[in-house]
Amino acid sequence: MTDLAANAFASTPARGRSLWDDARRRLMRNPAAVVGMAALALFTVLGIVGLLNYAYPGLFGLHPVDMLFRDKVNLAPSLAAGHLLGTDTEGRDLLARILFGLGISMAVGFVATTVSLVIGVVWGATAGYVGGGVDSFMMRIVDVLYSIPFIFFVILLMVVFGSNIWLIFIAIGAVEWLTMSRIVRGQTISLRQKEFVEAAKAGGASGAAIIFRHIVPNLMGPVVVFATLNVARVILLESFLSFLGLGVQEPLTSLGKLIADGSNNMDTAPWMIVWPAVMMFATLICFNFVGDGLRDALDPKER
Amino acid sequence: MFVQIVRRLLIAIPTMFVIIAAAFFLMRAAPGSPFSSERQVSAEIEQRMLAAYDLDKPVGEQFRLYVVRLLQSDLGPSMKYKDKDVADIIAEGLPTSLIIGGAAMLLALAVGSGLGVWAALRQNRPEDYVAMSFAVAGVCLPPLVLAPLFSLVFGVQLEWLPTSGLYRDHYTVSHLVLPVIALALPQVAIISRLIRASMIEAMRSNAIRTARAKGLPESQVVWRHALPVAMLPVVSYLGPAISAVLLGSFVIEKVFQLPGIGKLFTDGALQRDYTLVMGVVILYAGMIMFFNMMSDVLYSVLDPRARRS
Repeated sequence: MTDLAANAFASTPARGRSLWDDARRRLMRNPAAVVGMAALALFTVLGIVGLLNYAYPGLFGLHPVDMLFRDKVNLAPSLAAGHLLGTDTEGRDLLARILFGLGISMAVGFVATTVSLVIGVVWGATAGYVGGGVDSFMMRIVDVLYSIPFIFFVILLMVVFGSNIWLIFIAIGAVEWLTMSRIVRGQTISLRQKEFVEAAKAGGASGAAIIFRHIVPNLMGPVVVFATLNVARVILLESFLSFLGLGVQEPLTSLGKLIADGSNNMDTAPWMIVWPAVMMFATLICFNFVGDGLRDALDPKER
Repeated sequence: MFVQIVRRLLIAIPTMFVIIAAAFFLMRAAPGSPFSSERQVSAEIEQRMLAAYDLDKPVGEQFRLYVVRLLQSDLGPSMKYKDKDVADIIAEGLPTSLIIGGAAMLLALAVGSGLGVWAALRQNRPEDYVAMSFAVAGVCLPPLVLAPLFSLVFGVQLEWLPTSGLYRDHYTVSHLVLPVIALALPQVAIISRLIRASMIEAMRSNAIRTARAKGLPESQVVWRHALPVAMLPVVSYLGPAISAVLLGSFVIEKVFQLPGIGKLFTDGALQRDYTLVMGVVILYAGMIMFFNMMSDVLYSVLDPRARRS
């Protein structure tokens, strides 16, 4: 945890292994995490392809996301007909829609997690570093918010303002920052007493500089683990809303919305539920593999 | 313990008020009214309909009237289902939701604990890896993935079990099997992982070494000495588990077309049935807060270390 201080005073040519070097080495030895990271990289690329295919139809030789093939409604997966995963009840190419939905789901996951990350880190680090009355006041607010079942408010927000993807980002991000701020606060309190913080203080650094230059970089370990698992949670939360018809709206789609569409048509077009469900499962399990792998790799107990 | 309950209740009352107020004003801020989807009526009739539900008064006054009613434990009339009170509608849906949710929770606790203990006692053996792979997969199979797939495989393809058609006066076990398993499986996975981790830790503790040194049979060491300690993390997970099951039941009720609370809520929200939505929010928020409190209290009863702080 004191690698920053160590680096700052390093004058000898021998380069110490930092926490992150060690963690990277351990992570690379974990096959599940490596497979998960490779698959997530692939899914991210596929998601971006799906989003670009919506913005610039036909860019990658895929069918446009909302082109209706009226003569091929409910077509079973068929390579010969040019629809690898089949078409839906309106004759739209399912492959293009799944890639697009994957892109939207991943975007929601990343953006909402970033929102929660920023609020949680700033809130938690400030409370933990300042301490005293400010700390107990700030954490009491978190406690009260914690006891409110927020999902109902997210649902109500969706009902009230509807079909706005930015609202989904903000609403979910604003709910998920609570746990983050608790983790960050706990870490900050233990870091506050470390020698390198004292050194920075003696050097005349301001409170904000100490928090953001010295404390925040050192508490990134647990934060990264939480954020990785949080992306999966957010994707799930968005899918939950979309499944109930309260999330993203046409012409946009997400994995949850595709699953909802598929479950309404499973008698006639089972592929419409199978492929989005497989994609959803694969995405969630990869985030879990990587998150668990990071947790094991960064666990200081193992050092 | 008594002090703790009182303190939690003192926090719960203002929190509940904030929830009610926020939900009330959010619903009122929504565009459209409960009557906007109905056929065109003359201005005079619409005025009278609004007046009948106090919707013609200023919002602040509406809120005051609502809270006064609520204090007399009256959730008000539904705005969409004519001649019905919200309390009656909820009372019709509640048994279905409670049976499914309760059965799923019991199943998750029983199977999850069993699987977790079983895996912990075989740590790092093949059986352990199989059980924990299953658990990792289960965490990633939320009701919204599992329920439609179950319905597809066991209902549509194999035709083993019905996928819908449960009515209030007509409960059959076969209608409940798929919904309950789909709702319980992610919780089975999470609980088994929790129990496995804490069981492994408990089995390494000095208390267990002492119990073994006394010459207790291994079964007694496991069930009487290790398991009660290992159950503690599950006790504190009960609150979150129950809220996950309540929310999961929204999805399950949609997939299997069950006449429960979740369906009422989503339909009510989309149709601007203000009073019905408020009723469900109050009920579920209250239940989640209650179970969170119970799980914390239970934890401090079971763990003397938590009581002291």
